[in-house]
Amino acid sequence: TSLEEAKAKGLVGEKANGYLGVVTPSGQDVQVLVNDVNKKRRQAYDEIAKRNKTPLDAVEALAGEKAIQNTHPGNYVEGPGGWVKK
Amino acid sequence: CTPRVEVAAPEKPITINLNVKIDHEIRVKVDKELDRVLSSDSGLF
Amino acid sequence: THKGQARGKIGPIVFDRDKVRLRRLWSGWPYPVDVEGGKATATAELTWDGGPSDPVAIKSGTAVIELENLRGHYREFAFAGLRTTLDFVAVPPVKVVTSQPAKVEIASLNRGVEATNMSFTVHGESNLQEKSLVVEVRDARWEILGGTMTSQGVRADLSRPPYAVTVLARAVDLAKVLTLEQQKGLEGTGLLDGTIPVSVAPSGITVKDGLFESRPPGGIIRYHASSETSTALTDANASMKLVLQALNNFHYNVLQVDSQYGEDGILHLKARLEGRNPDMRQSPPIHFNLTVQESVPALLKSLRLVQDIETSVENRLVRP
Repeated sequence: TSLEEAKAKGLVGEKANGYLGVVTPSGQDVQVLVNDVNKKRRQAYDEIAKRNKTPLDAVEALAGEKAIQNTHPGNYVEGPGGWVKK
Repeated sequence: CTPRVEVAAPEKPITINLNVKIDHEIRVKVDKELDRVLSSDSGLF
Repeated sequence: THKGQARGKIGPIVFDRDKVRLRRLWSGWPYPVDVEGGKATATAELTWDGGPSDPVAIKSGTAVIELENLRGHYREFAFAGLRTTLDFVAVPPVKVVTSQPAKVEIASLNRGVEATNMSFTVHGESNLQEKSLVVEVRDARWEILGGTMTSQGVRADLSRPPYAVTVLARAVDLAKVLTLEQQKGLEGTGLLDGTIPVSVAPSGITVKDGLFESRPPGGIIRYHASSETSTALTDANASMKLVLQALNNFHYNVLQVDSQYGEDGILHLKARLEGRNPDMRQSPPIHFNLTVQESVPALLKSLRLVQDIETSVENRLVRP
């Protein structure tokens, strides 16, 4: 399944720390997808943090804000009380 | 007995000089770079 | 001699975001203003002497421009709820003046930081031949950052800047000022009063010795740096450990700020902050001498960045 489909089906959602999270455990392939995307995001955040001499957690926090704000209505985001549909 | 009035030595304040340079330019740049990472065609969003 | 008379009425024009926009109505519109909401009506009457051969001389002329609830942009400012009625009268041979000071109200003026409930009176005199314009703005008042700003105003000959105006600030909320910084873990309380001597010149606005002072009893400033940020800070400078410890829960009774703002857009603050952290039992009072530099254009850009995201998200959510 693609990331787009996984999100639309409510299997994965955006977390406040800038990474993907599993909303409802489904299959091994979704877990592999989440790990892969998060690994690539971590690499991208590292580069951005080094290039701009900013702490990694500041970049991750900004990414989390952006990911949650850009999430399409109906997909899942991580709120203070856990997963919630936007 | 005579009342004893104790005057604590006036606390000598600690003085700290601090220079703060706030750079929002970086936030704007980081924000733009994150736009590319979390875009539909990056495959990571 | 020839006599001429003209009477005209434009509008009411009802602006809207898509079809009826000022820039679209008047393609050659030279000014950096666009109007996309509200209503405008203009009526004018003119009588003159002279004709095709000899020079035209205005005998009498009046015009009324009525603006209701206008919404739009002026340069990087977004304005909404702009209301005024301007009465012009021609003073032969070449002058046009407002017949009386016009009250102008603007519900919202936003360039990253929003000013609301703005009102002032404006009176203008223009010499069409010399292309001069003298504008007198009086009794200005608006709200911003939780506080109220007032100013006696200024009489400004736009062709001979700079002109100076003093703004008085009352009860500015430190909590709102600190949230401008969008720094996670930074918050504060307390009210500030101040005076801001502003100078307006073609190259921009400058402030020399804007003074702010906290109202008794002062307030609290808290900065909870993330673990990574605090290690980065303390590695760079050993005394930062005490600074971060103090600012963890800093109860201040004195906060005085001297500010300079130059044409380069850099805000220079010299702040005196006195108080203590009650959690640091044996610590004596701590006095900070802070110097802060910040680029206001970059700050406003990053604020608009956040707002742009919100407005675009709002639009997407609003549409069914």
